[in-house]
Amino acid sequence: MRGLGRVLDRREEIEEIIESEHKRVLPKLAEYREKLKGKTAYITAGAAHGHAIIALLKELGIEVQGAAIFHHDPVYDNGDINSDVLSSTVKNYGDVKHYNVCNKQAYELVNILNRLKPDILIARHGGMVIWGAKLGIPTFLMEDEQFGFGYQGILNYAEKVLETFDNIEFTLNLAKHSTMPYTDLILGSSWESSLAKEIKADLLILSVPITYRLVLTCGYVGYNGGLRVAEDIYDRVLDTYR
Amino acid sequence: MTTFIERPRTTCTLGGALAALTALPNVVPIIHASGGCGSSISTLLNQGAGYAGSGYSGGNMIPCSNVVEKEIVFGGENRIDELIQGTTEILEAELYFVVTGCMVEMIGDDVLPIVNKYAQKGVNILAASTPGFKGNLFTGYDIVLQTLAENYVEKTEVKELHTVNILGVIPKQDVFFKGNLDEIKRLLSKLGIKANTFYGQGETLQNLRHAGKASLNIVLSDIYGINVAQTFKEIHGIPYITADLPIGDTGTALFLRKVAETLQIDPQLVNAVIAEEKAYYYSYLERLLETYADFDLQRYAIVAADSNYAFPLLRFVSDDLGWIPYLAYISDILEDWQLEKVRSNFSELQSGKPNVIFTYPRGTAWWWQRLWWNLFGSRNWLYCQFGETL
Repeated sequence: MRGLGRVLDRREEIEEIIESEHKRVLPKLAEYREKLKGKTAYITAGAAHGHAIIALLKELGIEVQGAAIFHHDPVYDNGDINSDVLSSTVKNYGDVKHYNVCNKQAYELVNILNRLKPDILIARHGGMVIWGAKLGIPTFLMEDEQFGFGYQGILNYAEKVLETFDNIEFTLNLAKHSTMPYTDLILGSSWESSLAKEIKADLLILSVPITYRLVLTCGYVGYNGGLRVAEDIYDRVLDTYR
Repeated sequence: MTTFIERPRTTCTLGGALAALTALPNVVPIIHASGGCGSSISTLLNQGAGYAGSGYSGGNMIPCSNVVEKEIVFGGENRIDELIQGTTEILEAELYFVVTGCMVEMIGDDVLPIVNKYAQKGVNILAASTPGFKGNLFTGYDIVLQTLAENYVEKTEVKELHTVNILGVIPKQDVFFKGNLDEIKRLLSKLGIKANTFYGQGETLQNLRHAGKASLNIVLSDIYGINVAQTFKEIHGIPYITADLPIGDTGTALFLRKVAETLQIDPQLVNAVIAEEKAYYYSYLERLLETYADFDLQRYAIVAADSNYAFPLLRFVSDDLGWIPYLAYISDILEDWQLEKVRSNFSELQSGKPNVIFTYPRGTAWWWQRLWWNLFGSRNWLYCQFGETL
């Protein structure tokens, strides 16, 4: 805004706008921050837009756990070092712990979301949202990069996030009934066999009680044992691999 | 074409040749064929064979002349010459081995003189004609091993009394080939016999080079590897015996006695070795007794496997585990004499007389369906698919 004021020679008018907007927006922002306190988010987006969403969410007091950013070349867009939005975001708002570049393969995303379990997933591109939704993570798609622009933009965003939290029943319910092409591996006992069936995990039974396999000479120690475990794990995994 | 095969049980002659070559240590196969052959065969030999991996220079590492229309029209001999030149410069190998596909055989490319040119320069290189139409994977194995026996194995009049070669265990068609050969080697070594398995753990090409010193070839198949044994007999004067794959006590004791008898090994030693192995084996198997009795685990067994495995497996399930041998389904396509040989094995079973049926090029599904409804009601049964993921 101040840069605009300098160029257009309207410094005073701009300062007035800034002051009045601060008066209007800051109390509301404080309200939103209170409501969003303790919430966590994960983002998938292109480079600069992704960095901007990180800054915006942090401004709202949301903890950004991580981001899958599609590429990384801070000065590629116009060759100007000042366009390095990532470093300015990190400088102003702090580090993002699970920030990755180009980890947009579905299996990578599913693994990350499963590990981090964020309260919300915000995606810039269609197709990415399905993984959040399938895992029961409230998710929205934000294709419009102008949506969070300016003073009103941050309020819009806060409202959008809160609206998503308002009703998460559909997502939670669908997650219970949706299928995933990814499976878990359980190294456990016969007690885990019902659980394995329920969550469609691959199960290698190797601790007592063992009632579903016969053990004669099989041992899992040493080099041969290591090869045997590998054989047995892959035996289970390949059995259900489609 | 009315039928297609989605997961073939075997592959073509070229595939068998590549299976036999890529499982050998330090061998670089060279394919003279179009690009798709090596690639699809390699996929099959990996994914269809319990993920056997590609070995020293298998899989997508196999040099291929990748012939296209130009070579089919004008001949591909210059192309394979060029490829051998490049391969021998770039890839290190103890042995190079050129194999051919259908298309270059149909246009009459003659690879042998080209290969001989390199051999005369001192390159360790061999070639064999292995077009797919010659047969199946088993044919390819035979051709490669015969070529090696003829041209790679050193001729010698001096035989080592207690050295044998193991044949008929076909790498990757038998997905357990390595484990199987290692156990055979271990057992025979207890009888004082040195076994060249060619494909087992720690085997080298030198073992193959000196395989002519053996005084006996043991073919672990009634059908496959016999041609190789014949070649060894003609060229190196080594006699051969055939034996079933020894599985469990019944089969293994029979096997050891047969080999020992042929090599005239001290019966006392043989008895002692078998007794020792039995003590180990039954100390474990004995633990099955409670389960066997308590859970009423005497069930009906069906084996669907190739002719190398079907009988040995069913004998194990029947004579060692005490189940009821109900049906043997032999999955490889056999000649009439082979068919009779395989069928006659089953009369050796101690207990039970299973139905033995053979595969047919077509209509297999129909056979299964008919058998299913005719033979099985609600009986307990075991369907044992084994040794034949190809």
